[in-house]
Amino acid sequence: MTDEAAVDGGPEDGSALLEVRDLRVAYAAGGGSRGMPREVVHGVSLTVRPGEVVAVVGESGSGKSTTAHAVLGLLPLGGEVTGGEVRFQGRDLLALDERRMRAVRGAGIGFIPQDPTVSLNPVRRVGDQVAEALLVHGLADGRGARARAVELLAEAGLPAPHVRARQYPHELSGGMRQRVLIAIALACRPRLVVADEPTSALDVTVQRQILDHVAGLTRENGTAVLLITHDLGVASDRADRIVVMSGGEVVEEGPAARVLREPVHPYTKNLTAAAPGLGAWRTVGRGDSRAAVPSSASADGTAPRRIVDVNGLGKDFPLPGKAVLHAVEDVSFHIAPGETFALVGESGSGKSTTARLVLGLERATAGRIEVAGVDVAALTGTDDRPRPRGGRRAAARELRGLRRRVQVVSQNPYASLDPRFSVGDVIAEPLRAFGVGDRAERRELAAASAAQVALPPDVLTRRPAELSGGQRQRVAIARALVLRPDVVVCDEPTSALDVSVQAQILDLLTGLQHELGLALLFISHDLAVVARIAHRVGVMRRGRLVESGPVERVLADPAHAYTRELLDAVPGRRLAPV
Amino acid sequence: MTVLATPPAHATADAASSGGTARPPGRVRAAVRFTVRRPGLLLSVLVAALVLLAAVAPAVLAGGDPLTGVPAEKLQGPSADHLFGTDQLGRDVFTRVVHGTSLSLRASALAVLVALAAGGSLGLVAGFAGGFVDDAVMRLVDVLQAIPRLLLSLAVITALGFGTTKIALAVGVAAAAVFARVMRAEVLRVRGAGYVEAARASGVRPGAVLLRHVLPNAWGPVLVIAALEFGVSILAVSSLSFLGFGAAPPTPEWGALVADGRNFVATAWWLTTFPGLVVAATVLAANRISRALDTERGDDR
Amino acid sequence: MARYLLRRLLQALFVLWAAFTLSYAILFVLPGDPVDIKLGGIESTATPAEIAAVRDKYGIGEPLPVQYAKALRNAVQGDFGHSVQSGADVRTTITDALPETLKLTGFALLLAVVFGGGIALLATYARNRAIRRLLLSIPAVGISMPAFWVGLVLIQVVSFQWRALPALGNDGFDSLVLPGITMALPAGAFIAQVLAKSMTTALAAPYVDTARAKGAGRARIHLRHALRNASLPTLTVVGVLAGNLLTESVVVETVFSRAGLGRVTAFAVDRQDIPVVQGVVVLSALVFVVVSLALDLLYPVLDPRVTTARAAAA
Repeated sequence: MTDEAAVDGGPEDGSALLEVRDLRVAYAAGGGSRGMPREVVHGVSLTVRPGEVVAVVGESGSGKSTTAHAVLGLLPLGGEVTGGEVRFQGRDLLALDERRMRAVRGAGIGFIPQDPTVSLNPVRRVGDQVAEALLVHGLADGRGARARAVELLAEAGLPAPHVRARQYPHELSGGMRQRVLIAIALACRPRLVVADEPTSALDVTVQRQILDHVAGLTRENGTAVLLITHDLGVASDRADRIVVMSGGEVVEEGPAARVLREPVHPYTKNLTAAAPGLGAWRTVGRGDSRAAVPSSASADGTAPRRIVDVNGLGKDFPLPGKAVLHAVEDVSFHIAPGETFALVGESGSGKSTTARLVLGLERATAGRIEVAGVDVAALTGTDDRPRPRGGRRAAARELRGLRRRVQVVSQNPYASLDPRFSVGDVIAEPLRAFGVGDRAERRELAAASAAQVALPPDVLTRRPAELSGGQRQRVAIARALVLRPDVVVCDEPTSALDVSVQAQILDLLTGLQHELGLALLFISHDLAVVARIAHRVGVMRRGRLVESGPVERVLADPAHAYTRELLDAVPGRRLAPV
Repeated sequence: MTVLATPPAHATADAASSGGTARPPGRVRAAVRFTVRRPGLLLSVLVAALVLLAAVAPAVLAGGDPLTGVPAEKLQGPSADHLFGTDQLGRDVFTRVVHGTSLSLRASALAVLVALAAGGSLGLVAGFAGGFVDDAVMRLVDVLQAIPRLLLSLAVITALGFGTTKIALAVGVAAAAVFARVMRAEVLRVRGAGYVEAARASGVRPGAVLLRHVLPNAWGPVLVIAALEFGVSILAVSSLSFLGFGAAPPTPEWGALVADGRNFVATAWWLTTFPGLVVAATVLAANRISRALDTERGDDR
Repeated sequence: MARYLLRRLLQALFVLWAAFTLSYAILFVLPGDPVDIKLGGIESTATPAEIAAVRDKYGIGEPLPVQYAKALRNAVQGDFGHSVQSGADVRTTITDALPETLKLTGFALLLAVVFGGGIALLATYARNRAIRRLLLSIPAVGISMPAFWVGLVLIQVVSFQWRALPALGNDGFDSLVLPGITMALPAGAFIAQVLAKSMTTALAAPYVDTARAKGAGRARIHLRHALRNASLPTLTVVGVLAGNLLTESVVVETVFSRAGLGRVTAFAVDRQDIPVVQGVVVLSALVFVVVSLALDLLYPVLDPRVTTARAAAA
């Protein structure tokens, strides 16, 4: 009642189901006993009422996940609650001993973990793992538990549950495994479910189905949900109230609609503005942050100039046995100078393979890839047109020449920079590879490139490990630009970054495109990101391009059913003001 | 697939302080602080330093003659004069252990070098060439690993004959397979790393990729294994020397010293106990230091 | 499944053949002529006729490929020739010595698994940090101690000071205890290290969080969830150790003056008795191959992922 944070709609009476007050969590430095403990959650307070869905939103390092784990008493090694209380149904959980706390876990509070692919025991049947939840709380005997487990799996929306119950986790898809975890979390009919980023590891269409299902089940049973997410869109779709966390503190809390529409705290304002929600794009209008396509592209009625022209591209991977995976099949698209073409699709759609083919890192099975008039596929050779043996050296030379004009920014900035190099050396490496200038000139060019991506000059002498994710991705972009290429292939360049950083990187890319007339091939799973940056978009599914066209047209009036499905699944419709 | 990489904790921590953060302290100072905070490691470093001193300048630690004894003082127990006691010929056991260090250590080092050179290059070639070469090399490694290392060493000794250098070669040949495996695994790991792909995509030649990216990054774990294998080699060399396949009798060698004392095991316990203790302490130190190298590397990433 | 087995069997035969060939290359091609050894080396006073007879017996006059082909054909039939020293059949020499050594290694492996596994489980189960660290430091020490020294210290203390157990010989179970412990110490330490590491990894896995969130107790989590996942790497190690211990007997049997394969091997190396050494090498490769085959059949029982992965690859 005397909380200092701007709380409205807090608990006036004792009706709260879960009440976290002034919670503090610290981690021992270095995971061991040595050094000062580092506090990561600084006095967090939040409330969940019966049947209510409360979303805790924040970026990585905000302490949201730590808070959720502290509620369950499941902090990782080295983590310790150093203050505050966690009241569940009136009892202080922090005061309970391990045995009493065990009785609360599972029975009183269910938990849906982050990554379904690693959260089930690989060597036990999924049915047994659901049954275990009942067994440990004495809610059923062996046979009863197994029978109930099948019912619970059915309830969680798993098809053919009696068959699935006897299977092992690796025999199930990611979405199915998450349904198993939901069955486990809800097995004992808990009053509260803590869901820690329950769908971040899943494709967007699967994410939607799962979240819908959880919403349905919890509503039916009157279960409250504490939903931890980095995705403001997901929070806005699902939550009654939103708690925004940053730097280990609650910065804002309130009813979802209020927080989204009239954010009070500057951090929340930033977050809502940065969230690449589709709704936001629709209302802000077209071309918000995109570079205008240079008019030279198709001004005088002649065919537009094409810097990249892909025709009938195909790539097969042999599978064990005689089977073949058609990773890419008959894909055709083109990109004009100064234009951004986005390939969007879910995992396994073949979008990344297509990017690797364009870069000449993978040998195509069929088709043509012309970049600046040179056929990449002919240079790497294809399975049906092996490159002539005599011309191999010449082809390799020409391929390398091409690399000067096509550069790449890859997905994970934590992996794409050699940890032993200084940032300056990383950026200068392509110059060195092509023998551009002497050492001093290269250093100058690298510094210029770093300045272009708004990196402070002192970064050049540091190592990648000392940089944040966003800074690292800037380094990767600077490296890609240092040779002044015509085309940059961006393979999910923002998917490993927090939303506020994502927005900065996207703005940077469009700014550079405008300045340098770059053509961008942009690979993404995120339609919202694509809407923000691309001029034209191609939607890929199972290796095929099901639809392509100008972004405005494809997103506003999708021709293919799959595109519609994808669009509908994008969270965050409530982000758009009505 | 959507990769939701969890950034390492320190990376997110410094996200806020993008401006002028302090440079990391010097590597040496950091290493010293790392060591002093861990008493076990500190002790290991001290043991290693002592052993190295004994190998390089044995006279500093034990001024006496390791080969000639004073018959009147034979088979005396440990005392202030004779820290480790004396043997059946009245020779000071401590002096003999100290003077034997150089030979035992050099043999172990040679074994590790042989293994590192042979196994490391095999693994490097296999990992980098791939395909048929990789298959052939790895089949050879499989076969080497199907034969226990001690037995493989014994087979080589059977063919080469006795002597400290031959023991070292035999131990090195037997250890080569381990290095081949680790080197190959590291090369494959680094080859698949994002920065190698990025270098290739930005036009760096394959040779330059190997020299500038793959080797420097694959090297660390191999060195950790080398430190660990040094301990293993000390054990193997001293075992073979104990079995009598090493240097001829009067020469002090750690394993041979224990073998010499074996006949007096009922009456003069110090003859076997102290040399063996020195071997154990040295191996323990090597293992602990190797583990420290490993965790430091882990922190680096 | 049948195809998979057939493939594994062929691989096993390849390893055996390669081990034979490798040992042949090391032993027969490198310097060191069995004839010289048999007849006393350079100072030999043997007449040319005697030399010729011995050379003939070992087939040394013929070109190398022919020699190798003959040796391989004989080896396939289980004939590794005769000891250069005693003239006895290599196969009988080995099979006569083997039972005593099998007893010793079997006992040692049992001790190693029980105590090594026990220490690892206790160390990972203990809540108290000090106890944990103490338990975890035992394997590190155990693995650093030379077996020959451990054996001698045990003899000093147990046999001579306490007069509890025999120091030497092959006289019943009593004489098995000390060599067994000596052999089990480094092996058990190794098992403990591997199992403790695998348990720690398994206990940090997200599926353990899931189990804890269900309300499962500590014992259930350790034994039902973590141990089963951690047992696979440990099993591999136990398999490798089975073969290694057979060779460790060279040292341990020497220390305790026990008769057995180890002593036979040590003696053969000492006298450069090449046919016997080769027989032992091929035997140990055989043990390795049989144990790996057995483990391959056991893995799918413990880890359901192994079957499908392997079957798909086959």
